Amino acid sequence: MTPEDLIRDHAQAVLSVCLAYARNLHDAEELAQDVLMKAITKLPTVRDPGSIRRWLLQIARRTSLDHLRRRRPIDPLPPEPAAAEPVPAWQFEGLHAALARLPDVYREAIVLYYLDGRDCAGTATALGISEVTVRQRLARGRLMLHDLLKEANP
Amino acid sequence: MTHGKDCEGMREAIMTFVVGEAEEALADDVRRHLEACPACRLLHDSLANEERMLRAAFDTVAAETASIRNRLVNRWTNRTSDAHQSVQGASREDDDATITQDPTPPTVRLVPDVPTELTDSVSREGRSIEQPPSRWHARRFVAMLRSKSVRWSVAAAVAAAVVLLAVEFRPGKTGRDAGIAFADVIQHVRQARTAAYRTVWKQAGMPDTVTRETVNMSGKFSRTEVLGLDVQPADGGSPVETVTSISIYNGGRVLSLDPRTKKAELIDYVSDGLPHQLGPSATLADLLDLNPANAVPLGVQVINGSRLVGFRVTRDYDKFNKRTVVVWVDPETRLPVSVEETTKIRQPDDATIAALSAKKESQNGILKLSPDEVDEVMARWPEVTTVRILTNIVFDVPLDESMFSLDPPPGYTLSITKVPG
Repeated sequence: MTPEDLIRDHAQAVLSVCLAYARNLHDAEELAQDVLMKAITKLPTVRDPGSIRRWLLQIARRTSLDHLRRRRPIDPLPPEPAAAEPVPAWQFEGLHAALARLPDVYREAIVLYYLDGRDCAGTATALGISEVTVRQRLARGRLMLHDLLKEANP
Repeated sequence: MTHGKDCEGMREAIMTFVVGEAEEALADDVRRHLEACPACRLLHDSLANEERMLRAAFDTVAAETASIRNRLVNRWTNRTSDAHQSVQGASREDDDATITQDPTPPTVRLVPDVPTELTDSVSREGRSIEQPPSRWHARRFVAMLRSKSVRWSVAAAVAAAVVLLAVEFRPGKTGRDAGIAFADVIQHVRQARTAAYRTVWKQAGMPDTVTRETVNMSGKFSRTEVLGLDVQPADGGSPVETVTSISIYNGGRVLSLDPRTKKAELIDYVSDGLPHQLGPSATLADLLDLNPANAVPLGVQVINGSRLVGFRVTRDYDKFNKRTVVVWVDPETRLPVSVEETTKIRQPDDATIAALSAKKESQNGILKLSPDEVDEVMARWPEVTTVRILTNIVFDVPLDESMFSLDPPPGYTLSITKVPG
């Protein structure tokens, strides 16, 4: 697998995981770029399509969490929802604010599922968990999201 | 209208059904329940409506991420092809007027320092695969991957490496952790500003690579010198160690020097105009970014006359890719003096990939394998072990700024590559 292949085939999934932790798409892009560079640096010969995504997403998760930890003291995340003027849920900002309040495992499963193929088997392989667990996280996380969206936009 | 007691248990099933991931038996149960339960029908309709909007919102984001993905691919492709603006046939002194180069590069906008050279994807047999090789690529690959260190006495460094190996492979533990917590060590490492060390890279089928490196722990700048033992003195004595290549990373730019050909190449990663904030990977700080909770005390050893305290930290990327880091710490300073990293990776096997590709469904060139299938395939691949031994680590060494200058020494021919925006 060439570096170009790695980026072409997995950047979307890496971006999805980064977006699950980042404040916005711009930050997610920065993180994804760093993740892909790290991956290419550390494992230039891997061509196993079955495990490389899982490995990449582990790097993505670690990098995103490190990034989050570094900026947390001065720039907390998730952002506090604006009380006076709630952002419409169906603009991504509103959806993202609700997603940010989900526990990590649910947020990750949801973002990866909806942004990268909408396929439980693929999400399971990428996260290194079973399809049953993906379905469970998807349903539970999605119900939590439903409650949060209703709360933000009654 | 309220949900009955049974309905609480149906919420998750209804959600799975709405997402479209319910298996047939579960879908039948949900349909039957919805026919009989108006409250759950309301919940279903609300969730289904929400699902349509959610998917539309994610579709919008997916279009954005697809565009970002294309941008990342293009950025990569440009780095390795038409971005190369070579300034040929003139020395650096002659070219001052024509090369635009900020003499004081910014240090806050960083990109990882080792992308372009890795397009060579040098295989474990040392041959280049997938991309056409170039002198610069191969040299930079070795320079940046094979780690780094400072100017230490050859004899002392080799002796330390030998002792470290002996300790690692014949451990006669004489004590426990001597009262030092590994978290304390990591805390001290995080406070260090600079470090210097020597590294030996070992991998089966490849010659060892020896480097010395001087780094800023925040990753803002580093200097790597790849060492060779290829100069035989006229009097027949031991080969003399020479510097075969130098890589200087400084604030998002990398200067690569070849002392033999007097060629210098500068890669400017900050020229794409993006606000890069993350430092380079593969620094000592990155290597020592370990979770103290996973540290196992190895006790006290006397190594090279010094009493050191050892820890082993294992980190598994997944079932088959494992990394173990052994750290020997000076109990006085609570800082590591040597580190040995062992990485075990399953090496993919071309024949297995080809056979699977013929059988399995693939999507965008990616085989769709279940986790069990992945495990089964990977278990058959040979394990490749790489060992990186860092010795003579000294933290907070005073650094001479000139060591990290991006101006090539006199007499070098310079070429510049800018990463396009």
